[in-house]
Amino acid sequence: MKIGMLLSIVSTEQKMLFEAARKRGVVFDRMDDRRIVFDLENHRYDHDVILERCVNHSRALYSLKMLNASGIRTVNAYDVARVCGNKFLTTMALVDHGVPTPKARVAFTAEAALEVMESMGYPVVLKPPIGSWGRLIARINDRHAAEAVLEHKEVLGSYQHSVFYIQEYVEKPGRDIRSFVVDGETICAVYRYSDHWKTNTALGGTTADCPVDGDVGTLSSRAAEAVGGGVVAVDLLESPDGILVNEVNYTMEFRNSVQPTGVDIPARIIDYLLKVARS
Amino acid sequence: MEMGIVLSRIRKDEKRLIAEAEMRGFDVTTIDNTRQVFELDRRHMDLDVVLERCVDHHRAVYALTVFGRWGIPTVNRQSVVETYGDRLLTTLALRERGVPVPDMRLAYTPDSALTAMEDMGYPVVLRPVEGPEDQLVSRIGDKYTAATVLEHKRILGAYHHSIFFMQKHVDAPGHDIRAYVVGGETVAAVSVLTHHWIGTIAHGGLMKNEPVTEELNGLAVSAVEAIGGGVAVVDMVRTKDAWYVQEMGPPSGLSDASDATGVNIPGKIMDYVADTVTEGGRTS
Repeated sequence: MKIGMLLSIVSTEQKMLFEAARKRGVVFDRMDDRRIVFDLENHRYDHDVILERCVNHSRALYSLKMLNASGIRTVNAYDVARVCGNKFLTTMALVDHGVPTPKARVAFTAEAALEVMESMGYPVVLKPPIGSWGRLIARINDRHAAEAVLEHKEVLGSYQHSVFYIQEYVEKPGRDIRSFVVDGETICAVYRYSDHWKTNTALGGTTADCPVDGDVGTLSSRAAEAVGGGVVAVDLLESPDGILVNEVNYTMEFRNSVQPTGVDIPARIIDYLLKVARS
Repeated sequence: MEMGIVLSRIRKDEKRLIAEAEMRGFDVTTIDNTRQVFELDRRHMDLDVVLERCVDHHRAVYALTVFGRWGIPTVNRQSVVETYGDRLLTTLALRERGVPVPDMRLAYTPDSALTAMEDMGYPVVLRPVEGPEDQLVSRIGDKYTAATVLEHKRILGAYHHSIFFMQKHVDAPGHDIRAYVVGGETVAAVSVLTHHWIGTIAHGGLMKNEPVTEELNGLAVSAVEAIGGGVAVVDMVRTKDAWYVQEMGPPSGLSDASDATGVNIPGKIMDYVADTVTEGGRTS
């Protein structure tokens, strides 16, 4: 059996995955995305499955497309990465599958975006449709803030920033929930506590185990199904009206979630990978 | 019948398309994408069909995604526009259907891109995966040029310039051909005469009618079928012994091409849009 890992850097997650694979007697063929040249004419990939762990979304996306086009199975599949990597497509998929999610709007110019924010009411959340680690996600508290942020995006941003994704602000109890779904099953979840309104652990904050029986488990599995399955991490918000699915991540970090949940997340990922390889 | 045309500006081509639509009895509503807001949790527009004429590729894809989810037929379909707006997706779709394309490589860093170019042999055409046909397309003739261009991209470029898409240069001076395909038929073709190596109108090329031979039609139609059908232009080059598809894109330059060929291309497009509404299923 030949399994590959497409990666940019050897982070803690990658080391945990190597170790989990080693325990099962498999060694990853490491494919460094800084060195890789895709050449469909002369190169044939012969892996049974490739796990994608790139830092950069566009590298991940194009690599998965190239690999899937040459008949190689990947975790996750290109279509899953395409939807999860774009907040607009994620919202469309969740709405389509009846999964509760914050209200969102899309506009293409700063003027139209400002009008949306005025009509939705402040605070409101402005996000680049593509991006991670909470980068450039802005909570806009009033019209002045909206004008300042929109002008900076217009003047400084590349053309990717000409799509404005605007989401209702959800009041949450000082924490959010991140759950992990593997092959349709919600295997564990953590509460992420932070004083900052953005609760991504990438920005600091603490975690604690969150039970996955009930809504957290059900909604996470449904969210994963909506984006196409595989191995995903789901961000959930506890709104006054119930739990909402905020985002779904296709290349997740998990180093801070193994200890509080007691679930060996990398081992579960490897088991799934081997199942895909054998199928 | 109510037709929405989603656009950024009403240019010469859009005026002709609107006139042709009205002649066919459509009520035309223009949807200005600079003002339009899409709510993602409910359908808030009622149209029989939407024609996409955005200048910005991303706006086109997002708008078509929304209309598609609302069950409104669109020309083109979202997946077609997503494919022809991206050179890698286009190349892969064409290869899969056996349509001849120049050899290509994909890399993510200046170092690996340089390795790839050295391996391919010069001249190599380096293009951004996305963006207008004539923008930042570079013909790299040697290692020094390669290193210089890659350094400019690394230092000045935004993140999508870190995808290096390289094609083997096909030498075919004076033989750049653009076919207009509408619903499974090449309705017109032009050759672009230019002294610049990039044979595009934007680079000062002049359009001349190109007879639609069986060979040309076959290649152009199979290229459009490979990306999912609809209305598209296919840019082809013809060397002494082979044809290649270089690039595909939205139907632009309609007025000039109509003048050069004597074919009413906007009219043909509107016939196709009308068929799309009647058949409905075609766009689902």
